[in-house]
Amino acid sequence: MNRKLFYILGALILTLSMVLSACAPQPAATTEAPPAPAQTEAPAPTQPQPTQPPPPTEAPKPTTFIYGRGGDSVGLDPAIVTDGESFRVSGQILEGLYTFAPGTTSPVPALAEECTANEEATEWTCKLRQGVKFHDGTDFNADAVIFNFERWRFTNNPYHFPEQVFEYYEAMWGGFDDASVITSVEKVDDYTVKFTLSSPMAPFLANLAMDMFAISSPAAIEKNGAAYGTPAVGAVGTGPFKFVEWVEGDHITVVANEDWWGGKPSIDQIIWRVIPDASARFLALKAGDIHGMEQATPEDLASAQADPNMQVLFKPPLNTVYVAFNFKVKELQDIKVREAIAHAINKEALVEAFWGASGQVAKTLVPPSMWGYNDAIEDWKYDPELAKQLLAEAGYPDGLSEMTIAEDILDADGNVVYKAGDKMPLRLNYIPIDRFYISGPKAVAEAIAADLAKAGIVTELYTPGDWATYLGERRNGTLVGLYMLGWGGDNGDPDNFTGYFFGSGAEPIKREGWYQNAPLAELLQKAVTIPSQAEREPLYKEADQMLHDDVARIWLVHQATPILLSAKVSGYQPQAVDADNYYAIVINP
Amino acid sequence: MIRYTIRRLITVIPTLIGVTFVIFIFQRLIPGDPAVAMLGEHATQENVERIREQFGLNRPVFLDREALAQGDFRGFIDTQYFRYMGRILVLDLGTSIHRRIPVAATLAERFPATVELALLAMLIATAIGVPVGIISAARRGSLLDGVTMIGSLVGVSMPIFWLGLMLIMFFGVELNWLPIGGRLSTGVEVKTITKLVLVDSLITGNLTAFRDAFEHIIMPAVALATIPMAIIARMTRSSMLDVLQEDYIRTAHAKGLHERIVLYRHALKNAFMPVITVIGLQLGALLAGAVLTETIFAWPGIGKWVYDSILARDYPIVQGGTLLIAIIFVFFSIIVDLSYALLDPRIHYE
Amino acid sequence: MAEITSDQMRVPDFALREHRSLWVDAWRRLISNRTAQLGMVIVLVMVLSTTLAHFFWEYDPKTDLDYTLRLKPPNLIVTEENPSIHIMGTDKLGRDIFRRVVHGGWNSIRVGFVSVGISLIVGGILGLLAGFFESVPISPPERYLLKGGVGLLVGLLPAWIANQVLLMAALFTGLGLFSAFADGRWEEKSWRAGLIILLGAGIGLAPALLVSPYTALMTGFLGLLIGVLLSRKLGGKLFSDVTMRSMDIILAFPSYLLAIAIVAFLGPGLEKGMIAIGIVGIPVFARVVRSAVISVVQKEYILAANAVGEGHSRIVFRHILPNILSPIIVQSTMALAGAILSAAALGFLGLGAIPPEPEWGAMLGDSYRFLTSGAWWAVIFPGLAIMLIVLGFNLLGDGLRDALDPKLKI
Repeated sequence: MNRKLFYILGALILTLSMVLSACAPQPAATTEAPPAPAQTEAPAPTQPQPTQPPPPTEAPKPTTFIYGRGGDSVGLDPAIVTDGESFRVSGQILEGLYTFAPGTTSPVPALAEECTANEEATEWTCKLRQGVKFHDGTDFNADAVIFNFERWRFTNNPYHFPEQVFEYYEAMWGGFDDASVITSVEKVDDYTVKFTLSSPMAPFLANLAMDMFAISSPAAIEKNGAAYGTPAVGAVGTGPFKFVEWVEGDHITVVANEDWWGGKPSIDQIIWRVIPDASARFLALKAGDIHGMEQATPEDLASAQADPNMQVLFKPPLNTVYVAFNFKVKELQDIKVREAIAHAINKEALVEAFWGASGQVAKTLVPPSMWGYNDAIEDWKYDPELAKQLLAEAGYPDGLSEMTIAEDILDADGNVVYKAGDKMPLRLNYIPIDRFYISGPKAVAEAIAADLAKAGIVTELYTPGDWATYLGERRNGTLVGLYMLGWGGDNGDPDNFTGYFFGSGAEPIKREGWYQNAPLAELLQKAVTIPSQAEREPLYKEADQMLHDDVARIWLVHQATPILLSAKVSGYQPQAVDADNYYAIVINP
Repeated sequence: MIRYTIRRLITVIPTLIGVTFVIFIFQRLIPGDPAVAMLGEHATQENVERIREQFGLNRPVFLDREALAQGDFRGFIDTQYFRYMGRILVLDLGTSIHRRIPVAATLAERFPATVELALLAMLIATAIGVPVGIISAARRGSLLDGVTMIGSLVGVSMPIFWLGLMLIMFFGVELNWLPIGGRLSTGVEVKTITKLVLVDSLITGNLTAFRDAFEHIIMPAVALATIPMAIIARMTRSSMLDVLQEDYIRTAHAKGLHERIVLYRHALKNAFMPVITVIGLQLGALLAGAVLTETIFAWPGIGKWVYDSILARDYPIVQGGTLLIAIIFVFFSIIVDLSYALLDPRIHYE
Repeated sequence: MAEITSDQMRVPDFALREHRSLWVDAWRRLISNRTAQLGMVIVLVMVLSTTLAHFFWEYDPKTDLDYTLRLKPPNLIVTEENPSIHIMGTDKLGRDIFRRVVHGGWNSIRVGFVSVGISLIVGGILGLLAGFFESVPISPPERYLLKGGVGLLVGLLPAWIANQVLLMAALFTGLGLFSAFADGRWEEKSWRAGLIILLGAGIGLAPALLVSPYTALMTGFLGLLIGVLLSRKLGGKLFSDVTMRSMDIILAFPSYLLAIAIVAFLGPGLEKGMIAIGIVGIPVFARVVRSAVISVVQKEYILAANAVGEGHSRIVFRHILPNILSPIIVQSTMALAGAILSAAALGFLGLGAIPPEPEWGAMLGDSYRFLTSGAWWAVIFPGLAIMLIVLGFNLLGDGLRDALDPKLKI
């Protein structure tokens, strides 16, 4: 027994050392990275327009576009997921009735040919595109649209599976069942449906165009039940690409849908690969293992811009990063103090250092790529001396380093977390993890704190725990002092920015640091019921002006997400809202 | 022997129950909410409530005393903890809150990656650590001995995530010899048999894939092997030194046996037991996954997955993953105990 | 024959005498040991430099920011391009890395000492008691303590269920004390057990009747079980078993996951990290100390001391502690190395010191993303610092082991 085991172990060691020496990386052999299949293959000549007829296919091997990303998708049924990595893929497989015109926030028809509203904007009639088939061969028609909307809306629908959560339907359409703004979806004929709304809804078409409301094949949902959208099943839609496989945590593959109504895509296959670390992704792009990636560090971005083998595209920014105030802090209730803080932060340098070319200094909540942006606002200047002076006027000639809780702050269970009159060091709460709009938030916070300290405002950096804790505290209004956060838009409508934040501000809004601004709330509530964009626009501009005048927040930056691509790639269309378009991609030799 | 095994296995049960209990205590203590972690900035109060209800998170954690007061004995134990224990009894680990897929399925997908990495790391550690330990012991006090012992101390003194970064910088970036992350290059396919990519590619004779997989695994494996290697080398050395002082070794020398025979046939055999212990315990620890190594090398194992799930408050994954890890760890310590008896006839367990 | 008191019949204190010369011996062996010398030098230099820097080299991380110096490589001479000297380069915020490494040591090394202190004190006491009572029968006052404690702990469950925490916990504690009294008083009587069981059921039942009859049924049953438990003669073995089993449970978790979970609960920050790492280290100390105690406690001088009725605390402090110091010292030194590594890992994950306080692990975690753009200096130097101090403690521990206890392994 004893001896045998010893011999076996010895033999194992021996074999291993042989294997090791045999396989030890020999430079000559390994410098040539394993070629990704067909990436060097000459692609068929293609036209980037979706409506063009399908190009002749002569290439013997398929062309593949490989995209590196930081995380895996959660699921491919867009109705029940909320993360961008899921929509990135589902957006290629499924389509909605509307979509956004490339690079803009204006909705244009997709599976619908057009939708028209009645005069009160409470009834929308949509003509559907005819002859479209789902990837499983079933027909796209009015029944399919109704099936999807009823599944999303009715909690007792057999396909509204109890373990699934239809977050976005609830968020965008007011709620489920009777709370839904869409009170009925009726079939007029096989290719016409009529939506009836309980009240006029300005962003109706923008909502239809969102990735979450893309139409799935009813047959696929009936067949797979709750497994629809999971890695084993994937998704079945009408889009330019068909689902092939999903190896969890590793990659998802889709192939071109030759029968797409928009014409056969110019690229044959797309693979999304998960490479969690940003610098590893960048190296993979450099080495040619992948053709494109997102979320690079500013340093990598700069070196990509200088590299002739790479190109950088920017998604039009649809987000805003900000520093908010908790208005239950006595010192911060003073507008002079808030103004002093606004003057103390060197935004230009901050954005340059941490966002580089992808950042755009923000002076409003609504980003410049959206309608409703107010360019007339003049931002607070960086001026530490003025900041000191303002502080002195506010009664803090020696600077500010302490905060006083003005009223009791309760947590969700009603326990007092901070008592009125409590004094503590002035906090600057920072986001504990990277978000799509900020990378390395801790260092950003350190820089902001250093700027503030130079103007006599000494803050203590603080984070109450991890991301879930941070958001929980923000919802309860218990992030005291200053806090950093950001917001990314859902449907490109300004109501989704200003309205979301301050639309209920007649009372102090717990979630927004107890900010209260009744006239602003009234303005925003009015703006959301007007159907005409032209009439709404000045109202949102005015709202941003009001926020600026009140120094309600300090807007830091709009991040235009850079997309790093190999120079060989053309035809990639970044989108402001929704997933980027892949169908026109060409990989040049 | 068998009776001892059974008894050891029974003592594991309270430990594992304790483990599930501790996991639940933490679930209650750590603030934050799965819905909020999932929906981020966009979460609404309704979202939070609904997810809590769907996953039974609105139930009391351990016992429902209000239900008991109403005379509802079933409701008394119809709580998160006992529901979970009930599911475990029927071998159901539940469904991930965020991904809505069974935890067991993802475990089956991810655990082989951890196993593969741990086994290779352990092989490297043993293949280098044992011979080095033997040679150091045989030439005690020599320069070689000094160098290897200091070297092994340096090995245990390095933060392995830092070593991993250095390896990536040197072999991945500067020399560009090895891929810097993942398990296989895109486009390389291996037929799944054992789910260990190295083994599968060998069985199917797919040498390109084997090479690709090997190039991916070697850096994380070396990084992970550093500490066990150092420990094994030191253990082998000190254990050999003990044995070499025994009488029978002196006798063997006196008989005029060749040095090598004495060393390998007589000494090594007896010095091996403590080494086996160390190997077993280290392997148990490696199989628990290495969150930092997996993070740095983008290795799709369970360590990183459980860590991410803690941050995401995805309780079913945290529960299932931690339980698996704990079971592995506990069973490895039993196997180590039992291997004593198997290897050394002098030891008998009652 | 007159009574012999323990004072009259003093046990010759071999342990004490032996250990004095042992320490001198050990010290001589230590300073003549090459590895230990090296270790001591490294540890001394690093601890001294960071301590001196902390107190005498002023550094205000709160205002340290210079965008013009972002990610500059190390330079030793002033040139036009690099107007200031940074021997280890600068980081993302243009802060001098050398300065932050030296100051960061104060935090990183402190974590090591405090967390090992926590593990040592808690784990040491648990291990000491567990090892001691495993072999030595408990004395009457200790029985009161044990049974009262058991009554309190187990009683908390029915007390919580009946929502009468204070009252019922107090009653069950009282039951525990009473059963300890009964054990001593009516040792032979068979009705003793029955009485305690009945009392237990009564204590469980009566107060809960206020809440609801169902609750009373449940708590009455639990009280009955507690009565059964308390009616038995609980000895030190119980304490030892429960303690060591709890340690097994902690050990069954991967240490990093446990530390992360604890920090997630407590919130980030250096102090929280210390507590987390300290808790994770408790079982190891408990085990080491327990096995050391067990190996000592069977020695004749302990048995003799126990036989003549020396108090337990006296035995522990005079006879046992001095004899188990060497494994504790060795283990502590090694644990220091481990704790500093764990702290670095937590810092790397962003769970360490609150910024902008410098800390080595956090410096690595903040900078590693710039590795691909060539900023190697921001990663190498903090890592080297960690490695050096850990190596120092490991070398010292090695030397200490050779000097103090040549028989110990690993």
